[in-house]
Amino acid sequence: MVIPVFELFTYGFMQKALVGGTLIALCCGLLGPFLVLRRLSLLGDGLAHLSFGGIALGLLLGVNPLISALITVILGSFWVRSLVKKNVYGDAAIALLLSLGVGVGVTVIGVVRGFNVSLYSYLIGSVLTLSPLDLILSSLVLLAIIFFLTYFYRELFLNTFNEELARFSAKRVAISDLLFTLLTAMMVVIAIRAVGILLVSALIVIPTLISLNLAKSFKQTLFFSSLSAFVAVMVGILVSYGVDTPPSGSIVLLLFAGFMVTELIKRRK
Amino acid sequence: MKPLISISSLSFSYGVVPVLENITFAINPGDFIAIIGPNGSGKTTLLRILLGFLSPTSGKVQHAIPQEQIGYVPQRYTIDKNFPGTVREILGTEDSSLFKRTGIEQFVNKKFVALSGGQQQRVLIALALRQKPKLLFLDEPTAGVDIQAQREFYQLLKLLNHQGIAIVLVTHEVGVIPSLVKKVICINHQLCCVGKPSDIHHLLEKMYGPEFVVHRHKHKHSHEHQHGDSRV
Repeated sequence: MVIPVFELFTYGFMQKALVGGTLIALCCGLLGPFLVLRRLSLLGDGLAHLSFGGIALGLLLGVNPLISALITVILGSFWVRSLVKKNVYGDAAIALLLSLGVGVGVTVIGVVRGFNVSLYSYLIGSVLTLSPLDLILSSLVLLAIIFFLTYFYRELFLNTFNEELARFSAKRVAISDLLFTLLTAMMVVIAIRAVGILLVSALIVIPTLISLNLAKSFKQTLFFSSLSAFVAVMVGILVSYGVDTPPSGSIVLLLFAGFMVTELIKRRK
Repeated sequence: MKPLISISSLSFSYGVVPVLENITFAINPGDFIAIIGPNGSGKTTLLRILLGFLSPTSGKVQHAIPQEQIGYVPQRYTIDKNFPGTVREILGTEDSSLFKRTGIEQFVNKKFVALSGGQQQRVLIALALRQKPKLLFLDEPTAGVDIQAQREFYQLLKLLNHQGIAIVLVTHEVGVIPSLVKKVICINHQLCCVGKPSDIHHLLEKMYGPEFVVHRHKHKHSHEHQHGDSRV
């Protein structure tokens, strides 16, 4: 039976999915370009995998898994920063983080049977089952990101352009870098609810790659990145509902298709 | 005249490997200094210490001016070739006098990565000039820039120096030094020599040895013949 599209919007779960999906897409679309251009694409993936351990620990200890994931990921992101400052390779530090998260998660599953179903939903995401708490957290993170970009845009922009140069041309680079790390960790945790641990880096990286193929300026990069993440999440939710598949898969496949199309457009220019 | 930066008995080593030993000199207001030396001689390490990115193992670097009054122009190769920002976005200003002063007004709306090497260097200078520096450090500014653009770029540096900005240039390009800078500092892990640019051949001979100078001159002439370049 085919449900008319407008009727879908009357369902509470669908309304929550579309609102939550929009908030999460905008978060990833706004921060993604800074991460990708600073060669931190895989940080999202590493933090997401670390959150697997945090979620498992949360389930084990009876703490809200989102809260435990948030704490774990924030601690992890600062740990990676300190390791990199001590001259550990960035990708190796991320691999270390990733392994730790999966190691903890798998061990907890082994010790306490019965969490498998809950953990599986975090692995592949479930934007159609967003709770009011998820929406509140996503709104707060998006607001924090907008506030951050409004007041620290110049520092973040120059730090992305050239880290050493930023130290000479902008005054609040250290604090902006700290806040950027914190917001990245928060963004990863809320994005897990939409696309899951396994695909969270796709929602951070692919919209940026699409925007880099289209944009003629940095601000356009932020715009196209947010727009492509938003369109992919909206269409992905509707398509997945129609064909009864997990939304995360549809979202990522749509983003991938978008990237291929923009690659062709770029090559024809 | 109080030096802008005083360097005394500066040494630096990476672990047990000494890179710089017992370096002493001063950067004064109005100076135009070229720091030269062979590859691996410690030029870039010295620059990074002067900029505060590295701390000396021993010795002192005393700054008489705050960091806000120091401008830095990095090597343009350190900029990501996919960076999507335009010149206007990078500079973050609408100051047309800055655009005019650095000769970049025609391409402020273009992407930085779409510019030629010489144009990119002008943008990086404009960015450093935004904070009205008293001292400007440049790291290999004309590497990979064509001869004409190099000449124009050096004229811009000369003009800025006449306007009162002290300039310190780390470079391989010794061909232009005699007509450009006021002081040459040659280093090869240690301070080999400090002198006027008119002494450049003497300084090079002291640093590399007489055979090297003869060899490099031969090479330079053949290289100029082929490419019109004058790199050491």
